[in-house]
Amino acid sequence: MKILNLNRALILSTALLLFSTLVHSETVVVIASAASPVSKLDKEQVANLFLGKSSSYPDGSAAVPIEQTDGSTAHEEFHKNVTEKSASQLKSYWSKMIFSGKGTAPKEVANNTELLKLVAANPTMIGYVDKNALDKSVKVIFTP
Amino acid sequence: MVPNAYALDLGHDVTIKGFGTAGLVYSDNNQADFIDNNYLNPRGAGRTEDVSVVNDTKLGLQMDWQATEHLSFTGQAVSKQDPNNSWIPELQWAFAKYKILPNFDIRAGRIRPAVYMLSDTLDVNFANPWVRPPIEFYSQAPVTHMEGVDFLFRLETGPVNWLVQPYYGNSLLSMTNKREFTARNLAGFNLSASYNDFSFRIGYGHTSSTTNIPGFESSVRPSLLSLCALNSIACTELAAIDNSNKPVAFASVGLGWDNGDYFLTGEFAKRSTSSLIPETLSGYISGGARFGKFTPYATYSQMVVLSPTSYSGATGAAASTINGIVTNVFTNNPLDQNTKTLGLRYELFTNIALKAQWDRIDTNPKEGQANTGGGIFNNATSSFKNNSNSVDLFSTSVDFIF
Repeated sequence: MKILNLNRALILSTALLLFSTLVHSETVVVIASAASPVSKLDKEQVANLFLGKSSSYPDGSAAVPIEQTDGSTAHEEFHKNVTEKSASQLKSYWSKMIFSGKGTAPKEVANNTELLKLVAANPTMIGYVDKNALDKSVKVIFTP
Repeated sequence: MVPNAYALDLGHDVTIKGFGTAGLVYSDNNQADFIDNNYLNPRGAGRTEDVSVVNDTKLGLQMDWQATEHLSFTGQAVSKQDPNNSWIPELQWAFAKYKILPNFDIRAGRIRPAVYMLSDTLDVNFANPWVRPPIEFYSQAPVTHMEGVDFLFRLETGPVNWLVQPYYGNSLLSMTNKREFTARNLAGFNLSASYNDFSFRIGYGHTSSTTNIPGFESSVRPSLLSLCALNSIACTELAAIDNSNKPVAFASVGLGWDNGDYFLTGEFAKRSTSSLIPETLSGYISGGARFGKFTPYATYSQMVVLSPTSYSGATGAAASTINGIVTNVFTNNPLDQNTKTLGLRYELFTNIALKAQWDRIDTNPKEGQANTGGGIFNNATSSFKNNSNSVDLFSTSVDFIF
């Protein structure tokens, strides 16, 4: 009986551990420079900026979105949760915008560190990083 | 920082990118050529050859220069089978874009008037689910580019995103059979709205069109003019069908729903004219589902000619000759056609898609009227034009962007 319970507890804790790992891997947060006047955006507003449907913050000032490299975990998590587009849907979407000269895809950086550095130094920029990479040079303006 | 994965950076804010399609089409009918557009495509799979590469194959290259924060230049050349059977690349876009406000751009130069929902990506098959956009609808306003201006004004009202795009320009285009098409004072607008998974669009464009048709000038006009002395109806009819500075309007609506897993989209349009160019109704509805890398889809599209396809109004002297000449002009136009389509798209890589598609294309002659069964096909035999036809078409393509 005891052994059974122990087994059950083990299975349960393994499951919990697995679950928390899953949750943990999705903690991408949207950030702006600590000097940015923007304090909070909603999902729709963030998605519109990263899809080029809008290029300004709610107060009318210019917004410059910065992507992480296509194929990175942060890129995948961000788009799954915010724009809700897969890598190939995103390519189709941008090819429509690009080849008609209607828009250009956001510029990219290679990793969390580069993104933090760039966004911290440019109050117009908006980006996303893994929650664990956060520091005081930036502020979280949306959590998916 | 690098620009992004969609372009090759040449430095000095100049980027180069491209798109293309390698396509093969097989038609089971050898009496007529399948084409996507009677005005632009001289030949295709069918009568000329069983299997054709010319229907869908194309290559486009685009160069962009972001000169300043507000000013950019874009040039795009596309090589594909042109109306004169040549593959010489043609500039489809060549414009300067100036960002007046963060959400307000003006473009001037050579641009494609936004007459359809998919005007921007008619050549970029990678951006569309199908092997090619539904032809009965997308052959109705073949103004591929114009010299002019447009405005791109984006705004948000609550959860709705709007794009307001008025345009104005003039266009001179070569068309099949050595026809020259001029659109003067082409003016219109594209208004689209998106809300969550829904998008909605209305468009209206109007122009004064002139088509120079060598066959018309060398035979129809002199014949009718010489018959005027005998019967004034010949001159009245010549004035009615003559396409010199005649108005053409194209009004369209589009609706789309796409939740990422499933999509359903449709457009409907009316072309209004008063010349030998026929009035038409056209539309399509298409739906599909995304299962991982696979996207199966189904489409129904149809075009109906509203203008008469025969003429019997002349009475008196030389009546049958006049009626015959005018009727012949009408039956040289694209005629009623519908297509049922089943297809599959497969994402080979994030920038390469493979597609396979089956189309069943039906054409039907108007009751009791000769030569009215040719649909949008080209180079059709008399037997094809005078019978109901059901053509099976099998297409495969590789679409890519780089």
